[in-house]
Amino acid sequence: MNCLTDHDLHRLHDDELSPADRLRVAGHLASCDACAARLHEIESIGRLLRNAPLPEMARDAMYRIQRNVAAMQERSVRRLAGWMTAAASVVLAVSLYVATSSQAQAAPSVTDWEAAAIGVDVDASTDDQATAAWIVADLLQAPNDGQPMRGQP
Amino acid sequence: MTDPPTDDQLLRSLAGPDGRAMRSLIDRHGRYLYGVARTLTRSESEAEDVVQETLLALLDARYDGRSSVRTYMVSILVRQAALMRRKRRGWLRIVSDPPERTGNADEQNAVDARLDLASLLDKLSPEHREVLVMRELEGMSYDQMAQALGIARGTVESRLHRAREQLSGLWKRDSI
Repeated sequence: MNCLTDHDLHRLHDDELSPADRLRVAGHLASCDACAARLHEIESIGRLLRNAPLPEMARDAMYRIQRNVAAMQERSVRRLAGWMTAAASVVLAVSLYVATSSQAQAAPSVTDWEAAAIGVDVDASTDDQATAAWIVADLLQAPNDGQPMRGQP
Repeated sequence: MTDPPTDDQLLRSLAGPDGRAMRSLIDRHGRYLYGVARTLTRSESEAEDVVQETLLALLDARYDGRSSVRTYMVSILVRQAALMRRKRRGWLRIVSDPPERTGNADEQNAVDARLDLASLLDKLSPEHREVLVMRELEGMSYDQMAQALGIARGTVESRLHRAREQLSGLWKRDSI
């Protein structure tokens, strides 16, 4: 009968065996004192570690850790707030730039009849020139008190 | 009366502005984390630094709930200890840095004589120490350890086996 490998024993101790392997290993251990002794040694190392007291913390160490972590946490929150402020500023600046430039592009263009009305030399059509003459004549008359202009619906 | 928040809830609300969740986590697990850190490091001050770095790393970490919060924190702590060890290796090339010793000679002898986890593990390599701590104290699986340490599962297994054999040999030798 072949004895168990170290891997088998360590895996059994670490609960890493498949159900089939577990059965095989358990079957062997039931009848082999040498392998059972090796397993016992592995288990006793585990117990030794688990039962040994962990190093104690100095009285003021907890306070120092609390204080330092709180300070670093606050610093990182401030840094994050700084980044967010900077990002918001950039977004605002870009938005303003886009808004002003699109406003400039969308400025209403002067129509031909408007140019003709103020005497600018444009290549206005006869209709435009007539409209301009009519508007100018109308403006030169007395205020119309909100009445519709003559000839207009 | 409301129940106190679970570790899971505390971990998920760490980013809160008042820092209350962090304080609660430190109150619950700070001593244990320090104890584990002290077994993995060379000095008390280094252990404190590792605990601090671990707690700060929690702020950015993503907990998936597959292990307990304490196990999760220990796996981060082991990584932080390894990072610090690598940094120290760099410093040690420049300055000889003996292990920190405190108190007078009698106190020191008493400390040395006490059988604690740190003195047991001190003779092992850092890599062997960390897998023993993760497995025996935290009960982490091979897969969990491999993930936490960023190494292959087979490497975890062989390290763990060698660490046990080495520790067993040292223990028998010291006991004789």
